[in-house]
Amino acid sequence: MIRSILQWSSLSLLALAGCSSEEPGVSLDFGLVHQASAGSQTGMPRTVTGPNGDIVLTRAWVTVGAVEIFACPATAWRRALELLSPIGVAHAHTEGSPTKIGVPHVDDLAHADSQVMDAGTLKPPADSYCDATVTLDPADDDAEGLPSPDMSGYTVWVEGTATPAGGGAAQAFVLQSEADIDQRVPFVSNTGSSSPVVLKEPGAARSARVVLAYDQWFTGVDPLRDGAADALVQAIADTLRVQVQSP
Amino acid sequence: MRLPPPALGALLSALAVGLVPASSRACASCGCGDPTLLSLGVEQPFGGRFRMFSEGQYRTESQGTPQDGGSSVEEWSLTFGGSYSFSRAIALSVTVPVLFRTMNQFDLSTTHATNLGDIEAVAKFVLWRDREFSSRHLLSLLGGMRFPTAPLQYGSDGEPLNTDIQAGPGSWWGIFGASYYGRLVGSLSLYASVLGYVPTEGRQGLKPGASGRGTLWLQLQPWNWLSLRAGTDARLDGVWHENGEVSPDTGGFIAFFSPAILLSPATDWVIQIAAKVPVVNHLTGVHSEGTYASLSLVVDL
Repeated sequence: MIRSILQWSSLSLLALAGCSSEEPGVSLDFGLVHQASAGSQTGMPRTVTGPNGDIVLTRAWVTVGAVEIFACPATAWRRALELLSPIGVAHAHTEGSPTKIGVPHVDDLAHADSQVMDAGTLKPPADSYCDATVTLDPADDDAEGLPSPDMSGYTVWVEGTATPAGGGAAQAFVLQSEADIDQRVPFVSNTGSSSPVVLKEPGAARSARVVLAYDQWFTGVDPLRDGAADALVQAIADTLRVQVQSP
Repeated sequence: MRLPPPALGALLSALAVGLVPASSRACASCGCGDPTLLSLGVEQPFGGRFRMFSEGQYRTESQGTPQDGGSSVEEWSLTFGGSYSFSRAIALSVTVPVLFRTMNQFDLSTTHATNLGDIEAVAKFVLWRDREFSSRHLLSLLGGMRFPTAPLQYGSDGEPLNTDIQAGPGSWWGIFGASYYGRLVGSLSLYASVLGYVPTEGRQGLKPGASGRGTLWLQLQPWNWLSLRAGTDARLDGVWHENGEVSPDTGGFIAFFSPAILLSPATDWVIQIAAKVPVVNHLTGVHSEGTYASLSLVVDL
């Protein structure tokens, strides 16, 4: 009896101290970066190619509102298994979830190319992931990297000078848009090939970057035309990619 | 006071050793059944009686989906405590739980935690009995408090662990209820109780929901050393809130089928082997509980 009481007392003392240990699961770290397809530029102004010649950018901010990843499509075999043994899975969306970063981040083109802005780390269910939806939408007051309160409420804010379509002296422009676009993009490697992210073993940690290809933004957008701001948001969405880093 | 027979000592040791977590979301207040059954017993209190008890219990619980950060918890617990009967009308019990929990999440991460749980003190007031001695009917009031003794646990990064694995929400819980015990025909008896748990706001913005528990069982004692018990335990939980928002997958109703075998190898010694098998699950959202299994030892001194 006394021995048992002593054992219980020892256990309760251990519990009073409390102890814990953790074994990491899978994770996917995301960063936000801007890069030119060829060469690199530092600081501002930057020169990019437009439909009427060179465009000089003096200020540029882009808001990435969310990134959500999606598992690779189920194989026929797995679909059959799921039919035989359905597991309740709710594909509910929230501002943030194990598969979605819901905190908006503002990329500032004044930063050096390839300078990575940490966007957050996902701890998704173990699976293979093939693509992501990158949301471009207006920044809020709490957006990470917000350059000034003026940017709040805008998806893009780009200033610079461009040559008019008929030629002549360069004209200044300011493009501000509140457009909201969800762009589904596949994960790619550094070489541009498809690169699913396999997160199926405890401790598996990978990283990926949302890359804004700023030198391609104005390829088909004349900044001096009406509607250029919203067209620019669409062009940014069309040219971004999600690049998976080598393990 | 008699010392335990060697076999029982070995059993206690085995119980204690077996509860060390092998490798360890569950709401900290979860659990089911009438906690006074072990600590105070069903019968009329005897003035001056001191009772000690321990209970090892295993249970599982899962909440949420892969998409919303769901998790499952495996819990081994060791509860020990004692009670004292001040008279034939009033008895007081104190129970001290130690929890060994393992939380598995869909991202394959695992967290183990060992901690002191929330200590509970419950008093029993015999309100009415049909006769002074060897009462056949006993109506009692139950009242007490669960204290926020479970410390907040932190992970290796210095941040508090997930609330689902914390051993308690940091709330004070008022406990009140009533019980009835009746000896029916022959060696057949009945016990029924209802208990309400009403919490204050806890830490980390947690506000647990109030919880009600009901217990009803019949017990047959064919021999002095053996009793068989069967009945039901049920729990009705209010929704929890976190920072003013409703916590998903909390609240609802669950009922268990609860069989038990009680062995009395010696006078004043009782070993109880019990299970609670979930038979009705109306817990809110994606939330389920597995079977509870327990082994208990009660000694009257």
